[in-house]
Amino acid sequence: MAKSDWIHPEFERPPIVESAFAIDFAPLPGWQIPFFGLYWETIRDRYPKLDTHPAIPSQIEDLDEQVPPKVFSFGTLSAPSLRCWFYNESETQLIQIQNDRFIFNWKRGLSDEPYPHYRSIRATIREEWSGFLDFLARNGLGPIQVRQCEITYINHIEKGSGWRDYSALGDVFSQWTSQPTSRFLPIPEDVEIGARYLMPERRGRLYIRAQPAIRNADLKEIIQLTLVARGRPNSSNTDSIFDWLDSGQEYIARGFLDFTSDRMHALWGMKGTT
Amino acid sequence: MSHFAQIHPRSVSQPLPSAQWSKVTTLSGSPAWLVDARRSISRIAELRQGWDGETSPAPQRQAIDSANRLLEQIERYWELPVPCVGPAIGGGVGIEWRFETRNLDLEVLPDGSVEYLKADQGPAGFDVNNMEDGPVSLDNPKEAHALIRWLMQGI
Repeated sequence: MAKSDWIHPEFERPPIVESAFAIDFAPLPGWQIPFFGLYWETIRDRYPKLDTHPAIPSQIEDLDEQVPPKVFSFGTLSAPSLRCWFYNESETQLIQIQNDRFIFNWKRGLSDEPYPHYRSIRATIREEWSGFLDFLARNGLGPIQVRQCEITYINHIEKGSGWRDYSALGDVFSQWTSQPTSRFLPIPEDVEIGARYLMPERRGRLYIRAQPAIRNADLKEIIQLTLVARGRPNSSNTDSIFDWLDSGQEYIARGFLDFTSDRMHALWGMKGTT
Repeated sequence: MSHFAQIHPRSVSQPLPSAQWSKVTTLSGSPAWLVDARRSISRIAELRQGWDGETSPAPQRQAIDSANRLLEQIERYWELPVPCVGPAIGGGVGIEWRFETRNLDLEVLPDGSVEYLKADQGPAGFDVNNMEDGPVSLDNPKEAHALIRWLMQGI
């Protein structure tokens, strides 16, 4: 895959609150519950906190299908439908493991640390992914057959920062037109926007969704703008996976810029290119 | 409606399931009662001292946080009716449900602790013999779940 020379713009106050990088692989037939604990021991110095959740069903993109991808759920005694969360003390980095998924999340944590650039997150993900592969190899659980990669970027656009009601969404999203109040319908109570885009060269698909929401931490009304890119890397080797993540991340960044307005870019302190 | 058309229950642009870590209450993906309750608590959190026209302190941060935590513990109950949520004198928050003959009052005290009062209305009205109160531990979500089960099923 050709390297892009596109340069990421930087923001002084980016609206991003979380990103997640997932590698979806064929279910590991030998994976059993004790392996969660054994794996945790290898990362516990950096990720001392633990939670358990139901596994996320697999959703593999079919680029020829016009309907949403089917959701597959596996749940047998040998492959428990369990997902473990291992996260760091400051609650900014999370590794999620289930028998067909490795997910690395970054989010704004207990302290208001600035958003780390993709290149620094990328280095951490690569290190943790390599550690996970080593763990699987040591325990005879590999090799991995990667089915798909997925990147999620979650942005919170607070009410009062660029919009006050849903008549002003045209000021926030470049592809939305604000309606004059003289029309029949009044100002909407709320608006939800969803769109899908095929990525070039059949690299995958981008989903963009804007949802009205209330942020649990401070109860502020927000629009949660989520961008999800999914696609299949050329092979299961680590270089191919990270080639896909690089191109997917760039597609999300460019999609975000295109979907949101210049006015909001100025409000977020876009520095131009660096 | 009786038709046999095949439909896809999800929007084509909905990329769920999600690996999201940060917690939000989406207006379209959450029970109506939860959205309503969160909005109410959001408004309560903005009240200032003397909100009651007298000298009541503003709702306390610990009470707001505990009310939020309580809602998180029961947010999976889609079928709950919309509760009545209001500020309590002294800096707390009150959440009250009524379902069939049953009333469930959850009072979040200014220090963040939670107490419940449940009352079942008999044919002659509420009777102190059909009331029960006590503390609710937020460290054990089963306690809140048991209260909701009582509200909805009477057991």
